[in-house]
Amino acid sequence: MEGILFWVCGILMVFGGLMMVVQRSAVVSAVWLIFAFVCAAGIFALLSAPFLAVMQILVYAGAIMVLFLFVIMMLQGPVLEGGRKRLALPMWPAVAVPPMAIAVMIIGYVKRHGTTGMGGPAPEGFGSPEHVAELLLGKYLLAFELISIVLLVAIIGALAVGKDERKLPWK
Amino acid sequence: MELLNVNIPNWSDMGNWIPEAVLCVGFLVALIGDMVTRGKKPVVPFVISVFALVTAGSYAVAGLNNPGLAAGLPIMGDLVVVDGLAAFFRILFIFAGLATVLFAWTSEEIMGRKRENKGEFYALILMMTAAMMVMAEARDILMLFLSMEAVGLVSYVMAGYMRTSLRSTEASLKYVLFGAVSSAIMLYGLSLLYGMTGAMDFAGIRAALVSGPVNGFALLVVVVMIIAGMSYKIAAVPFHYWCPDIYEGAPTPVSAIFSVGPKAAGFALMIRFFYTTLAAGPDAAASVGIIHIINWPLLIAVISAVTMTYGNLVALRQSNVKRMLAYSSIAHVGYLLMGFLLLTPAGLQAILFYLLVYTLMNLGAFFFVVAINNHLKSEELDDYVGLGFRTPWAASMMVVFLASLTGIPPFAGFIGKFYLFTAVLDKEWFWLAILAALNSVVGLYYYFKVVKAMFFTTPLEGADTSPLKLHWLQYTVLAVLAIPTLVLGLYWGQFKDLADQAIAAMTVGF
Repeated sequence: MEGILFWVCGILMVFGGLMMVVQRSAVVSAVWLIFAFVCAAGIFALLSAPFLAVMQILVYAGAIMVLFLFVIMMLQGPVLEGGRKRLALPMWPAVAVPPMAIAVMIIGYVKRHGTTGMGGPAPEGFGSPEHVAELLLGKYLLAFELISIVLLVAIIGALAVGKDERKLPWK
Repeated sequence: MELLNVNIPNWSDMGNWIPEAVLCVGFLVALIGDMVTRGKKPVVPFVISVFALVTAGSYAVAGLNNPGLAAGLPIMGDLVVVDGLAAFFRILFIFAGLATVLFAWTSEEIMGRKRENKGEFYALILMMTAAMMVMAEARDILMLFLSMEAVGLVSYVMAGYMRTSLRSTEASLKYVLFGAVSSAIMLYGLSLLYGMTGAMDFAGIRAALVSGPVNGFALLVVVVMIIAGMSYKIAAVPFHYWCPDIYEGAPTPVSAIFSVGPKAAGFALMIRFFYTTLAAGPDAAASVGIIHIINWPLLIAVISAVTMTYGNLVALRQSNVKRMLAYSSIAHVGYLLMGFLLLTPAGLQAILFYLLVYTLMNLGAFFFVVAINNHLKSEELDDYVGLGFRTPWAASMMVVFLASLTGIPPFAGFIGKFYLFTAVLDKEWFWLAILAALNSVVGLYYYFKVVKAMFFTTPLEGADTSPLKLHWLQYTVLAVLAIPTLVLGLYWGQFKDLADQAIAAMTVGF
């Protein structure tokens, strides 16, 4: 059962990623990206990591994608114009399939104890918020801190490069 | 896997990580200092960054005497380790960062009247230095990837620093695109490796590869993907396409640190990764077993040969000095890779010593271009005609750097090449040594084209021959780079010992 679910999630995720790349409209691309994220959440759930699966939906498919869409809408202009005609048809699978993936996820969560992976069945408590927190603030503390520095640098870099666009050469 | 066995990091380890901590704090303080002070020149961030680099540097130098270095000092867990290799590279990076900060202060491209965000520049160099240090210390694929991304992100911003210049913006965009693709390839390789071994730390990967049956084809795919990602960082053929355009487009002080820092960090990472997972010391016999499934030394040998030949041949045809130096830096990566594939301590020692020398001479050559660009607003070889008489001291120092880059005897570059070549000949890679020797001759031609233009070509009628006066800081930094380039060619024992010690712990069982 898990095997089939894995292949369903995996193939759909690859398909979603592919569709994201080939779309001409940035908005449609973003929606396909949500689709791929939801499928990834399904795979997390199959790997007995329910907390990660939920976070994947909440943070990536939810919060970050809202930001993405805001940014795309703020950019406006040719980015949106290009694909507006084609918006209707390719949107449908993107809208329809995530609920299926969520269903897969729920099944995966329910059946999580039978799951076997590389290291055999996951132990009790694996993938729980406590476990994730312990790893994040224990073993992987330095990596966690480094990520925050990477993000800080990215923000400062974006500000340094992006502010006051009147002076840009192509304006 | 034991669960809920809370493993609280050991904060006392931070004593060995003072340089990194100082740079991170300096980064934040410099940013805040830039925000609260307003002036024509960002004095406060500049002073803070110099102070942070000097402090970090003195702690890093003091750290060399730490007796625990040979065994490696883990920092708060197993993700990073400060050992001889890391201690050596820390000093190299801090030196390169400090030289760049000082020279950038006098560069019109960074500090010119129309430029913006001058303060952030100094803060970002601190962060880049710190990230490169972590690259040299990482011994876990998670940390490896994150530190590479950290260096990459700072680099993207710095390449596009002259954002009112189309060339610089284009360089930045190209860097982002190439960087993203190669990161993705490497990440895919790393995830396959994790899938094969179930371990993230290098030692665990090694143990899994030695103990379990290894699928040779899968390992080959993994190694090729990881080499692809790392070759991008060090700009080896065929992942060099970004390099000339970005060095040419980025502000020259930034190109200077790009040509030295991330490359050296890439080499540090490659040495640690390959020599702890695919060819480790104590169980050398087992190492050979793994190596024989995939002949990665041969793969690297081909990359090395193609890289040095390509870099040199294309450099021949360049008329822009900055672009020529970019191709020459590709060629030097080819030489350095020769030491990497030998699987001998001598090869690694030669790499480290060569990197030390390369840092001095390549920074010097790029800084000379910065100083001239301030006056001439050009990097074309034709505009360099007569510079030998317009600014004799600086031009003479440029000759030292170029002669050293070529590898002519009294200069440090020769000693560096000598160690590399003897290491190669010891392992009987004759074709590679012959090719490298031929390449050095090609190098002679294009480096001395610059010397010829500066000293021996008669300027055209009506050309400007007025003397150029450089900033005193420029003379100082150039001298600080040129004097060791000369001295290390005559007296190098102590620095060679430093390089030897640095890899002693890595190559125990060789």
